[in-house]
Amino acid sequence: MSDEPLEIVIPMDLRFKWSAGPHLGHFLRELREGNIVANRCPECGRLQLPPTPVCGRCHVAMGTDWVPLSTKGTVISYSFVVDPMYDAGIGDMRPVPYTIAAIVLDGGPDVAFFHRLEEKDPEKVRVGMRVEAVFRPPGKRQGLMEDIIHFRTID
Amino acid sequence: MGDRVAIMGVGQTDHRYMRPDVNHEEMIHEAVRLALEDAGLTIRDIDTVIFDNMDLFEGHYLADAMTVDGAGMYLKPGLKMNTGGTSGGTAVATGWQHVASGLFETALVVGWQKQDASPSIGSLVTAREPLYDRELAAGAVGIFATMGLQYMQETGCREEHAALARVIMADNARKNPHAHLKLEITVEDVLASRVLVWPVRLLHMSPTSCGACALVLGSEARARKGPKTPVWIRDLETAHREVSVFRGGCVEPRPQVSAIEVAAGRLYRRNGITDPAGQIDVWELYTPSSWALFHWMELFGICEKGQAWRLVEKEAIRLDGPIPIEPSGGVVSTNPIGASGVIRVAEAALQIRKEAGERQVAKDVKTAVATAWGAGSWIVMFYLTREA
Ligand SMILES: [Zn+2]
Repeated sequence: MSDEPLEIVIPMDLRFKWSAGPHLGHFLRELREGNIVANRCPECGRLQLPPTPVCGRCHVAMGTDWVPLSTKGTVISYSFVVDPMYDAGIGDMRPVPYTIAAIVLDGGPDVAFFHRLEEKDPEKVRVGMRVEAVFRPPGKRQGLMEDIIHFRTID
Repeated sequence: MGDRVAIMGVGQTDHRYMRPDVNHEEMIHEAVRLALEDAGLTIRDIDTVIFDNMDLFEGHYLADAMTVDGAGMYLKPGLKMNTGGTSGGTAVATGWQHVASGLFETALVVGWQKQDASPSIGSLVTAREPLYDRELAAGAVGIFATMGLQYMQETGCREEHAALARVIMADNARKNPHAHLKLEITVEDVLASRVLVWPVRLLHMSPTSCGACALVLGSEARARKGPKTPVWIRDLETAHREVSVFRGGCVEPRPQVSAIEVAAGRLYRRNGITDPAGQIDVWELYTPSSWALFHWMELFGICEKGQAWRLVEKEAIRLDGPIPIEPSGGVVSTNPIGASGVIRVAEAALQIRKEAGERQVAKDVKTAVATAWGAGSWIVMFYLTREA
């Protein structure tokens, strides 16, 4: 009888369901139409992106004061993903490299939108660069963040 | 403020990448046994047990129920804590609250993680809201990348400085027999390691570790009868950020509000701390990436904004420096996540007891700050003292 350590592999394939709710649900339906919307706190007036049910600071219901934002904006931070990461949507590695960025959309000065940039050249990406959302064609959108392919550089 | 609470006993495993020689319960029991011995107590002397790990990382729930015997929870009151990266800090805070309330004289706190059980990134991606966040999340690495990039853009800090911070932590880890990674590395080695999410390189990130750490907390009356110098948990503080900041990798337009600054401000005001760098003798910060260190140093008020990289450049944070940080080698050297928050407090306590061996800092340690940090900018911080 050997006493080598015994390790047993246990695979699991599980499926989960998530309710978007009225606030994020509205955001995703608008996204499907090619729009990006935030909601405004009735107490402190700040925007929430994505729309949220409650303002954490005021602890009041955010409600449905929808504020359409431009699909153009300015990069405030970015990075380059070089090492493959799991894509939780498909359970596999994503193709690399890709550029991630926090973008302040025009009309939304107090919120940042997080997405990918088309530009992958580290020499060409900078804070302050102007970018615009590139949506999938109207019939191909599903109300997912993936409805935006990436943000392209504009002048 | 509640009754005085002291750390009476400290125990931890030797943390490793893999522990195929033991199961979860056996590994937990190693730390529990050591902490009880250190406190000069048996499990009969323990009034309550506070238990933590990050659920799902081992691929199953009810880890507490499956390890009752090894953890020493049999027929005892107790709680299981699970707050992500801060789980260990939350467990210590809960143990403190149980004893400080006067309802319990002793509490055993047990934190652990066995990351060889599953690919932890698989669990970690589920920590992001699935409809808005998850597709874009680059895991914890992405958060530290945006931190690092923002810091370089706003200060004179260069990649070399983050690499030097990592080298200093590695130098400390080699003096810590419990540390997981005991790397012999130079700044050049760090800069040559592969990029994960720029500017975060492989050597900047904490490893996935297996390990457990346990503390015995006691009331003043009990602690003064123990064999070891009591280390007082003089105060603690917690604060959380709102969910909208978690989204987008902790990036928001200025002005930003930091949970760390809020928590530290409250704790310092209560304890008359006006000069943290001068009044705190040693820091065990929860720094999962060397790129986070600069932000932590500034948010905890160790130095002015934009100056942390200069202190690192002067190597002021070394064991023999004026502001020793992460003498244990820190989370970048050892990260059994559920144990990591407990280890910070344990290591700070060993520094105050002057029982930290080769990793003992040169200063006469009378005060220490230990913290735990987790995604969502969740912070738990402890102020430890030698005097009651
Ligand atoms: Zn508000």
